[in-house]
Amino acid sequence: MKFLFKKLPLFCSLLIFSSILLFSVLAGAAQFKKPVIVSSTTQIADFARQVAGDQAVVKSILAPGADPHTYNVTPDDVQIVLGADLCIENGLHLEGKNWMATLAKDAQKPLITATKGIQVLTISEGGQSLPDPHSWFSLKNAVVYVNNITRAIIAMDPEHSSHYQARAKLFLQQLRVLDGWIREQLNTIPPQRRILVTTHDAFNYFCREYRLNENNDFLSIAPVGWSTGAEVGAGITPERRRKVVDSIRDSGAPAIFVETTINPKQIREIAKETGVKIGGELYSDSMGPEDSAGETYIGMMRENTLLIVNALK
Amino acid sequence: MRFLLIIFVWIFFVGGLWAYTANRDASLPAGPAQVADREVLTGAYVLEITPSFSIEKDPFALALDDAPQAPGLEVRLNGQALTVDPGKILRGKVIRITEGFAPTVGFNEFYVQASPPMSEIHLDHGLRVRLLDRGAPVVDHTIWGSRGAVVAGTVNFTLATPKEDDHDH
Repeated sequence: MKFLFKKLPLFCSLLIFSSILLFSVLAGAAQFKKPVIVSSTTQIADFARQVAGDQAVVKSILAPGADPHTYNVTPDDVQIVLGADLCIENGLHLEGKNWMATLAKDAQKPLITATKGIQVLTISEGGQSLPDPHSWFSLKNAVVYVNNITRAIIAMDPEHSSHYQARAKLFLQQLRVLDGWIREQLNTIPPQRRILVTTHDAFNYFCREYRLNENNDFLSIAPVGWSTGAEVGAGITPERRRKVVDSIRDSGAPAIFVETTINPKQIREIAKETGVKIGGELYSDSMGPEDSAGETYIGMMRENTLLIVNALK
Repeated sequence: MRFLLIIFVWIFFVGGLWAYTANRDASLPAGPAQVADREVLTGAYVLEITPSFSIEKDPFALALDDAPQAPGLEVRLNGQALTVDPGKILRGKVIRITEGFAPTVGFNEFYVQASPPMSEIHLDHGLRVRLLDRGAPVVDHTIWGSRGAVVAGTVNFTLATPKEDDHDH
């Protein structure tokens, strides 16, 4: 007791300080416990971020520049999904061997498919009809992504429904303006020069929506199939390569394009063989890294459009 | 004994702090104070909207399962949605709204939003909004949207209490 009275001021100060510190930490942790959304791709992460704002933490399994077709999951990915309240995949076999669905299933976490309800483009490959998973390249499909993601986020956190709806409405109107702007920009390319040749078949929806590659039924022209992985319809074949070279020579395409997620070797060889220039590097299966112009979905679409227009017109 | 005393004092401080923060906001009102009802003006007012474009449903509208798809034309008076005929609204057609339309004495605000056709992204579009009092316009304002964007905006106006001698005898 004598000790206590002797050191009373110091003792009280320490008690008050430690109490406030402990209380602040506990209160802060409780206040900032936000739901966690984990997406497979960077595009979906951006959609979710636009809808959720600061009410949720959004993480993407794929880093910018990573290829979803050939991605191999890591132990860190398992940990990320274990902390998720909601998982979102693209679907349509974009995630090679369905790695996102497997991650969510193993962690017993709710999973939604962002492409549910989309008007799927099917591609004939080797006698088989396959759905093209790169559906975000049509702005009208992006609306379906955003609607699906908004529904799932509201179901996860109904308390903030009006917040999510307001943000989603604003983002969708930004997409509407972007859609009009893309049409206006592409309109400046003479119709006979609207030829988009890329590394792999990622731009079918873009070509169909914005009327590029008329000679190929408004679909992608690429030496590599819809997937860069080992699925059916994937990979480069001599027939595909010959078709691309012939298309470039027949159409007089002024430029061809490489993609940020894929080794540009094949496209460079084709450019050399046909004598056309490389128009630049398009964002395809992934958005750009942080601080780049393509770090958001709107930025990615804008930069791709400007690159295509500048190279082709 | 000394240890127990320290624990006791510590619990006292933490508990006190927790009780304070938990009840700090208890004395605050749960919501905003009841706003006094303002005098509603009924009967003589008609709202006219004339679009310079054919209104279509917005393909970029938010579509949730529990909410009907947003109509091509949305009108609100002081935050309350007004009933609008969902029929086809063609370019230049005058839409008259009288049902459920009750402006109040003092400041009022219309919010009008309409979706132009996606095929007209190269055009600027306008919505003429007129408020008529017994046939005479008291508000006449045009809201503009550029490059095919949804045309949306607010129209503010103030109405005075009608004078007694305004009535027909």
